[in-house]
Amino acid sequence: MKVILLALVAAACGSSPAPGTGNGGRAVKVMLIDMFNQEGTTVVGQFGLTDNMTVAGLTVHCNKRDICEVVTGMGYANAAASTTALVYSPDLDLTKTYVVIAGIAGVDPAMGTLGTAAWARYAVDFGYANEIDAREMPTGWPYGYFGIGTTGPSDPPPTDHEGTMFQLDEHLLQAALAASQGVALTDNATAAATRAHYPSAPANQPPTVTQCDVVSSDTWFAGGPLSQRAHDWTAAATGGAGHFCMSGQEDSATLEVLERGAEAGRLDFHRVALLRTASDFSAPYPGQTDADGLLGSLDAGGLQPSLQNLPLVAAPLVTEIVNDWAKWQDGAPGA
Amino acid sequence: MVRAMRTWMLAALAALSISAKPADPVRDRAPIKALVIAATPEELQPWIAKLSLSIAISIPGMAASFPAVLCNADAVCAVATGPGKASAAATIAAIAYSSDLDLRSTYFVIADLARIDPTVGTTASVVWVTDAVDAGIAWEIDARTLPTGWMTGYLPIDAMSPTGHSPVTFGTEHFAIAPALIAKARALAGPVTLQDSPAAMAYRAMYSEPTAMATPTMLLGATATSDTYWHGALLGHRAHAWVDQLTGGTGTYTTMQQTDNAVLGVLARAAAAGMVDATRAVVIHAAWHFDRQHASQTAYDSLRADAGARAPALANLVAAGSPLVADIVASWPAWQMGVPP
Repeated sequence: MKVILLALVAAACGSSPAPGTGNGGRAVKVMLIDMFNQEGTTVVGQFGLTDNMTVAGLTVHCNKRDICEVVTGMGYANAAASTTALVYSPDLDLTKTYVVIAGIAGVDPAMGTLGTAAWARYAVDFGYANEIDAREMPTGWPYGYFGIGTTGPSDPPPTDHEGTMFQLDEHLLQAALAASQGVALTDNATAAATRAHYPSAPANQPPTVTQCDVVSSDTWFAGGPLSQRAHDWTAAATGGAGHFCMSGQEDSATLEVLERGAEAGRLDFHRVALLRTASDFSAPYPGQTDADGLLGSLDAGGLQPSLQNLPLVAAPLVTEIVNDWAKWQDGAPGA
Repeated sequence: MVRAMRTWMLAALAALSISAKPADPVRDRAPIKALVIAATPEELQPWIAKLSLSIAISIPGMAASFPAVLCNADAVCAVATGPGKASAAATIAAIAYSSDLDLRSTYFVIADLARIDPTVGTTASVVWVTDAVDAGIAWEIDARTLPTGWMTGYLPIDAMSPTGHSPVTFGTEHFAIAPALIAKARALAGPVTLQDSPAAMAYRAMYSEPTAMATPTMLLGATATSDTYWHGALLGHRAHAWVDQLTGGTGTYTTMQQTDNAVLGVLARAAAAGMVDATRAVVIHAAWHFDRQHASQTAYDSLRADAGARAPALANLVAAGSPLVADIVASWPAWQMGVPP
């Protein structure tokens, strides 16, 4: 009975086109994914995304050049929910879409500064781990975090967990870097004053566009030991190739959904880029406590430049893609 | 002929509550009565056997480790989301936003193994969850350099101390489970005889708290969710204070696990999009371990110890939750309207 039914199901699938196979919806050339409204506002303004559509309860902002943007909401659950709604919507055709995840982040002062914009090669999950409070962890440990199922912080991440690490497409990454290298970044006096507390570059220098990598966790960690853990964990998860610089609260969840969507034929994971701009330092300057660094981060001046640099840095790539679609429609040039 | 066969087939599929992407995705689907949600295939296995879940429905976007929803002829289904918030949220969103299943009147039975606070209960116990609080959405610094007066390195985002309040709202920080649904589920479970094991008995005997040393029971309590699977007394104390704060003192921290707020968060989002009724979610935990060490043990040794309770906890989870599922099926016309009195 069951076998017969399943055969009939297969026959029925063949006899009528399934809805939502990515061909009936609005074809999008670039989809920018932001996480909260302030990010969205600057992006929507930059690209003139005044044409709104509603997709499964989400507002998607688009323009006539097929550039669209969505705000997922903050944290893993919202990022996954919104990205899923987008990816499987019959109202959108994302099969040739370039996805640019664009959000603000904390930056490791060893790798960047307030306002720095980083295109990621790797996105590593920080939060999926064991943790023992550092005051009662085994002697000699550098921090209380370690991989689930492992014996301690010096063990590599477990290999049986989906989503520990994502690698972004290298051709698209290089194209994004090349396009945005000369962008004049926004800065302000408060951010400059905060930077001056740091003794060395790049933390005490003006912001630049750079390449370094992202870790994600619902938990917004800060301070020396936890930044060290982000550095170590990124290296361990990427075979030493990744360099932690930006910490955010969504990317691993967003990328998990996009990767699954690619496997389902809804989009092309080679067309996903990840951009984070620094709103705050993830570690304090010498003489500043971890707590003071974290509590002072809101007044450190980095929020406005990070928000403004987000669309400024994304724009050259986005513009190139839509202006030269004939060159990009079959994949990033050089791929 | 083709048309007749297709009509018959749709009727047959409706009876089995599965669909083959019908022409009218709303009208042609039969409503799913209950969806059991576990984090891992191991946790789901006893349900698969108990509920005879032999119909697999693949939905794009599910976890590679569990790529199809399993259903039975009574329109009861189950899924393992994959561990952690990202996989749980991605999987449940894929199912909830899909037009493959009609989940608009479905009851969601979220059933997890969890670690339990030994000052509240013991291993192999069953916990009917009153509140799910996200312990991971927070600021954190390493606990060795805390300002004077801070008890923990975790604090609400944009707050000035661990006891401060966050002005930022993600929307997934706290979910209260419908009391009427909990009460009905508990009543249906009745006086379940909970399983235990000699190994679990021996392990809990090393604790000094009377609540930890007692035999397994069914209790009410709040849960804390985090991808970061913390362990030890200090982070346990923090979880207690955090749950107390986010529930306004109404929830008592009892268990911890890695997925509930992601699942409930996605259900809330899908409800806003008209795909599900998020008030029809119930959360049941069974304790396979403690969340912290006993007095003569380190936090690390406790984390790595075998508490001996995994098998009885799994059995008790199904024993406590399956009467609810059975009643939803048996009295569906009533349940479809809402939780029966």
